[in-house]
Formats: sequence, structure tokens, C-alpha cells
Amino acid sequence: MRTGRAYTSTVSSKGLVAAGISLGTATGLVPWLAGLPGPVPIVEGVVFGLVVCAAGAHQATVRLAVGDGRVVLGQGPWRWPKRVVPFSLVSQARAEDISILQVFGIGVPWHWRSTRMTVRAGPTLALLLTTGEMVRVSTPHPEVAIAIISSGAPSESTAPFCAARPGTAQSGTAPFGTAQSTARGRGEPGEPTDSGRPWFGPKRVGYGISPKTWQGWLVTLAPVVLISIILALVH
Amino acid sequence: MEWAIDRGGTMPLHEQIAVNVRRSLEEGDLAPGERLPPASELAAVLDINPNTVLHAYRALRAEGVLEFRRGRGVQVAAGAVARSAVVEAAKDLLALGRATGYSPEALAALIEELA
Repeated sequence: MRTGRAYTSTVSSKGLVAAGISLGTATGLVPWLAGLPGPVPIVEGVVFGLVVCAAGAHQATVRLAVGDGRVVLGQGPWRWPKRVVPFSLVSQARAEDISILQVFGIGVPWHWRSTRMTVRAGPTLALLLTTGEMVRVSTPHPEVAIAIISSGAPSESTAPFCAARPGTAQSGTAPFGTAQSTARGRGEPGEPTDSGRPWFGPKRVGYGISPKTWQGWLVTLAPVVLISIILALVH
Repeated sequence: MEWAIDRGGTMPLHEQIAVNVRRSLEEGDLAPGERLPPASELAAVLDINPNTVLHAYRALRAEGVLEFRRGRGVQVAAGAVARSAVVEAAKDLLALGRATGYSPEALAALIEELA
């Protein structure tokens, strides 16, 4: 019996679409309506606003198709730019449950090469490629995509996929790095350099988040130092 | 949504694709207004001919489950869930009618009589 399995998803963020439209309206119309002096005539302002709206809508949608030995990723309703990743290039696939800050790359472990196609908080498919690149894409059922990738992957590289499947001890919705750490063990030769801890975590006292790693502290303190230097130079 | 086809099965491939869409609707994986992948994209990942996917999409459009919109691709129609269930029940009734010797016209007359 020859069977074929595939997984497709289109994820759109209404919040990002609304933000794009709001920003486009603001940039295109508000200066004109407010009667602000400026060199931008109304037609150019409207055109620029529409372009910003379209860019917002484009950034708010990601499409994923998995099957026939490849993962096809695309941004926007027209799936452009398009990216095709063969299963043979995927060294690890896991499901993650990202927060709203991580959607914008805040609190995501640093990776020297990373592609982020996340448009909303929640289930996300994370692919670590043999090139060392980390690809994250929003999708409602990453575990289905992982099952298809693992069934079509070369036999010698199926362990990371199986370990990351949901329903096992290493749940597919583990925080960043956890599934990988438990599946393969830290420090194992050839292990991808994806540190396990989130940069920020909930405060022990009060509401909000605070830095938990040196990268988190760096991100927090760098703007303070920068602003201090600028102020010192200005005065 | 997940797609599964059996190339060795007796059911035609386009019908299998339509079954996938109906199943996803009933299980809640698909909701009215959601977009389906373009025929070329789905055909590529399932390793089948794009015309087979288009055949399935057109059949589902004829059933009122999908709607084609220029520039927006293929979307699940409003009220598709209920309609899909009715279409499935009607197909079951037709199959039962064939097995027991009722023609579609006789079944229609029977439904008229009962209504």
C-alpha cells in the first residue's frame, strides 16, 4: 500500500494585520489631517500608507507545507519569499510553545543563524538544520509536521524527531532547549549550540519578567549604557 | 491540516482529498473562512497531479463546502460544516438506495413524501 501524508497550515495574526493598518493609516493620513507642514503631498502619503498596510498584512501571515520529503515555508498570503527545506537538511524538529515576547525574538536563545516566521504566541515548529540554522514557524499542529518529517527522514537521524514528539517524556511543547537537552544530553559531540534556558523568566516577587541569563542582562543593560554614553557626550 | 491519501486504494485520489477536507471540518481542524493551500502546493507535497487537487476542490465547491475567490484562493465557505454533514448523509442514503434497489428519483420521492 502506497500512502502519502502531508501537512499544511496558514497562520495569520489579526493583531499584526491591525497594527499594519493602524501604522499605515497613521503614516499616510494623520500628518495630512493634522495639517502638519511637510514635504509629503497627499497622494504620496496615501500610497506610502497603503504600502505600509500591505507590508503589515504580508508580515502577519505564514504558510507551511510538509510532505514529499520537503518542508515549504512562505511568508504572506502569496508565500513570498518562499523557502524549500529538504527533510535531509533537518537534523532536529521539535514543537515549542512560545510567548508573545518570543514571537518578536525577545527571550529566544541566541543562534548564530536564525530564521523566524512567528506571527503569534502558541504552538511553533522549530527546525534545526544541518547547516546550524534554526528555523521557527508558527503552525497550529507542529506535532503532525514533526511526525511526517520523522517518517520521511533518513534512518540515522530519526532519534531527535522521535524524542521531540508529544506524548512522550520529552513533550513537544517543552520550553526552548529542553526537548533537545533531554533527548541527546548536553555536551554530546555534534550537539547544536542552542542553550537551554530562556533569557527572561517570571519574577519571583511581583509581576512581569526579569533577566535570567547573561544574555538577558546584556539585552537589558546595553540600552542603559548606550543612553548614558550619549547623554554624557551631549552634555 | 493533515492530509493522507492511499494511492493503492480503490477510492479515487480526488475523492480522498475531498474526504480529508470533510474530516477536518468535522473534527474542527478547519473553520469557515480558513484558506486551503493552492492546488499546486498541495499537489507538490502529496506528490500528485495538481489537476487531481483541483478536481477535488471543484467538487467541494459544487457541494457548497468551499468557495473560490479571485486573488484570495480557496476558502472554507460559511456554513460548510453543516452542509458537509448533510452531503455525507445524502451520499450514505444514495449508497443504501443502490444496495436496496431504490433509484435516486425514488429516494427523492420518498423524502418529499416524508417531509
